[in-house]
Amino acid sequence: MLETQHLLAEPVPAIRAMPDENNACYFHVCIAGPQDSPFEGGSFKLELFLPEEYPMAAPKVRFMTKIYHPNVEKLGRICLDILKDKWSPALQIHTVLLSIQALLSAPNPDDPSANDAAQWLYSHRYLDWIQEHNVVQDRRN
Amino acid sequence: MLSGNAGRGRNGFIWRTLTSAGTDRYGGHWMAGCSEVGHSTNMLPTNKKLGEPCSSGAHSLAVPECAICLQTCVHPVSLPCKHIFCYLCVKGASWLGRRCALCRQEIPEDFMDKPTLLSPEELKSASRGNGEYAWYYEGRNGWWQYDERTTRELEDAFTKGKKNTEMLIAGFLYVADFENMVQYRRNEHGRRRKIKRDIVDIPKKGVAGLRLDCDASNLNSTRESSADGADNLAALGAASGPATAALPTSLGGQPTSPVLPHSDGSTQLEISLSQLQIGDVSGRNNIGEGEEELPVLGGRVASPDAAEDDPESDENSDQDVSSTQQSSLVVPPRLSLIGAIQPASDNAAPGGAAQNINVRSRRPDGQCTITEV
Repeated sequence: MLETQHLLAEPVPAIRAMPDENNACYFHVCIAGPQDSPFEGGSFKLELFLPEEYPMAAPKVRFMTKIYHPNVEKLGRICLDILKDKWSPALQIHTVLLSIQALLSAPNPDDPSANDAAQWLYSHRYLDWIQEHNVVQDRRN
Repeated sequence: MLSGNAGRGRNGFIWRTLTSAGTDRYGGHWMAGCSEVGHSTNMLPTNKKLGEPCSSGAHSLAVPECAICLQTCVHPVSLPCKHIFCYLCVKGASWLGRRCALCRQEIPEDFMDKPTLLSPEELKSASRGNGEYAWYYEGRNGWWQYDERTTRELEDAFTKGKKNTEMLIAGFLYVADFENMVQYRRNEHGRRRKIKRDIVDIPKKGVAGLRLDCDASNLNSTRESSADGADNLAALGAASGPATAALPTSLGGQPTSPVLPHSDGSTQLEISLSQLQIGDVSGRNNIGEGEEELPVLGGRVASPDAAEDDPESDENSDQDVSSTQQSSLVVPPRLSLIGAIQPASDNAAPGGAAQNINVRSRRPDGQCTITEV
């Protein structure tokens, strides 16, 4: 597959995606926690599956590593528009993974999948942490 | 919902630049590093639009790559937003929604019928050849040639002696079965279409859903599916079968003399059918909501699946025609009546109610359906 070759030849920084030995449509993904984010230093495993309709349908992506994030459900499902109604056939595996990495850097508490994590995000301690690290929150949809 | 804007992955069109040395190189590759990712940059790949100069210089020939299939464009079309894709890729993406895959600008409804081809002469040259072989798939009344890339894949698999091969057409995975010479969707084996290997110069409707005779009136009057190969071969047999007879009726009244194909015992059947009471007794024509009465054309009923090469039309072929929905009874070919049909006057139900008769009809797809009349 052309895209798999691109992924292996030119890996995205801080993201590793390897196709499964038995199933070329299944990928083992590892994303490093972005710098200056609550997830810095962490390493998160994900699974990515390309449906038969790909690229006309979005890939299925799920966090395998437990993560405390307002846009990730308990089972690891990700609330991200490009994985749902905003999917475009021009998007690729690496662009999806970059989006997920960006989601770790800038969570969207206005559209939470995990309410407790969203509340934590809005809590005093986290706002202090943001000020300390001078991270600008982007709360746009 | 968070907007997935995380960084520019690659150029939507990697413009393959053919330099004088004959090598090709990819222009404008840019990968977002971890620190460079931000929501402000657009996640969709940016691409050179039509008419923009190529970065490598004047001596190069720019061949756009499709942002959907990531290969060199086959029959490239330019959308109103000036983004370029393969015709079949746009067709496949249009099942998702009529928007450009790169900028999400809306695509006009009639674009697939009248696409803006980047090189119309390429289409004509693809359909001409000097004796070499090409691959074709069957439409409702003619053959379509596969695009060059698919033809190459089919020819390669065929010459290697494979029994079948997979191919990606308009975003759907198809299997070409060389033993039975048919193609079908990998996840939908029931919908089949004949394929053949023949010389390039044979008469054909067009290439990969693009008509060779680009007659505007033709394009508007008939919807051509063709490219995604979703036609059912069973539906193709419907046109070649014997003409179906229709009984014109007055509302709630007796039918006039029906038009039936000549066969043994047709007179008796004609008499029996002429005495049937068809239609609502109350005199109302109960056509279901949103349904149209099918016009009778020369003894045949124009069915909803009569649209030429309509990809989804064959799904309608199994619909039963009920007397409560239509005022004209369609008599399918090869009628076998269960039990003797008695004239309605002999044992009509009290109150003038219509007598129920089970009619078993063999449909073109070989299934028997029992219709209550």
